[in-house]
Formats: sequence, structure tokens, C-alpha cells
Amino acid sequence: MENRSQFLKGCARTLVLQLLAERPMYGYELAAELQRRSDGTFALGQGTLYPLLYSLEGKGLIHVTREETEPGQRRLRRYYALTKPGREELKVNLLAWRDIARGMRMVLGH
Amino acid sequence: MRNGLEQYLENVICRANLARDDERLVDAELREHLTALAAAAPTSNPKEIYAMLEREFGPPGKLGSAIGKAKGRFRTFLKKKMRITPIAVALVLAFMVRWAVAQPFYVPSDVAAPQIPRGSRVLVFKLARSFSAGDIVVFLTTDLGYRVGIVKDVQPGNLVVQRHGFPDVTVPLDHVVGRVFLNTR
Repeated sequence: MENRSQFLKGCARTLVLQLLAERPMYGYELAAELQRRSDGTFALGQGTLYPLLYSLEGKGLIHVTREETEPGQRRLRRYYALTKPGREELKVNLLAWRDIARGMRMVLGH
Repeated sequence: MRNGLEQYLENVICRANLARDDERLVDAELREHLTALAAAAPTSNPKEIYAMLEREFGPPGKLGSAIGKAKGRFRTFLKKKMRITPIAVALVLAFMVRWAVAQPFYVPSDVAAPQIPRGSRVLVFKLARSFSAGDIVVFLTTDLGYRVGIVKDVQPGNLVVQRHGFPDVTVPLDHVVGRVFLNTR
């Protein structure tokens, strides 16, 4: 189980980049979308989502396009989108993923 | 026990140990997400809400330290240090003033007594450029030491300065540091 979560964490980075390439999203939306489209495989212990977002932001791969806050509330929606380096990174990741998936299939035989 | 959400969030933020601005942003953003989750909960029992958030988000300590790491320990450290910037600016300004406008000196002798008795600390106005007899001035000697004295006579380009117990000296104007305008005694 620990293994599985480590494995998913590695993939989550590429998936988050891919989803943000489609349209800007805020954290909750991103988690929900990921869970829905992966049919629950990437329930992504949200615990990994925010550290991942902040580290991508710190590396300049994504940035905040707009912030929404309801008046009088301390809640904040930050919409994240890919930056240009983020797009490059996604492209490289997808190529790597294709290679890896192909290699795995060839070795595992299905 | 307080609201489970508040409790959980507080534990996360506490462990993340972020700079103030980051802390406000992260708090508000997580709050948005947690509120949406908590709203879907079938219970309003704080303990159960807390347990549910912990199941979804993981232990608060772990999440907090992961966020802290993602924000960059070094950058956070620097941001926190930025709070001392105003003090640094004040120090630089103080040194600039000392260099250009006013500089303190210690007077170890009675050469300008009784106005400036031995042991005085005086402040010299360095922008002063016109002097008259009776002014107390600080000037630079040829051996690069500072001396204090009383102006006795003003000549074009020179001041004749009197120092008790010493012969009068003629000081070129560009060796005059400035006029004493404040004396602690």
C-alpha cells in the first residue's frame, strides 16, 4: 500500500500538469476532477495535492491566474494555470511516460 | 473541543511554519477545500469531522511539513528575515547622516573649556561653512587627528583657532570638519 501511494505520487505530478493545461482550476476542483476522470484511482490523498501545487508554483511551472474570495470570508479560491516552462515540462513528461508505459508493457507482456 | 476543521487547519499551519503572507494564503486556500469537504460530511460532530479530514488529507503534521518544504525552507527563512528590513534601512540612513551631516566626537581635554569641559560628547554639524569668532569647531590636523577649538579670528580661507594651553593654530577652511552644535554637558 505504501508502495502504491509512492507510485501514484510520482504520476500525480504529470496528471496535475495535464489537467491544468486544459483549463485553470482551483485546488478542490482539481482533486475532484482527478478523482472523477481516473475513476477513483487518483483520490490523491489531498495531502499530497497542495505540497505538489506549491512546489510546482515555486519552480515556476504553474502560476495563479486569479483569486476569488467571497466577501467577508477567509476562504480563497486560487486558480492555477500552466506557465510556458510548465508546458515544456508537461511535454517532456508525456514523452517519458510513453516510453515507460511501452517498456513496461513489453516486459510484462500485455 | 472546537470546530474540527479549525483544529485540523491550525495543526497544519503550525507545522508548516511559513512566512506571514504565505501563511495567510495557504490558510485561506486550504480552508476553502476543507470547508467543501466538511460540508459533504454526514455529521457535524467535530471529532468525526477532524477524523474525516485526517483520512482525506493525511495527518496534519505530515501535510504541514510537506507544505513547508514545498514552499522552500530557505525562501521562507528569507521572507521572515525581511521583517528586519526597516531596521537595516534605518541603520544605513544613520550612517549616511553621520558621514554627511552630523558626527559625534568625544572631547578628552579642557582645551575648549568652560563651554566644552573635559569628557564632553559633542555633535558636529558638518555642513557649516561660515564661521565667526567664538564658534567652537572640530578640525583635522596634518597628522589626521581630530582637534576641537574656539574660533578666535576669521581670515579669508583660514580660521585662527584658540586652544587653551596651546599656541593658536591657523586652520585652512577645508580642514574644518564643522561646528559643534550640541554638547552633552
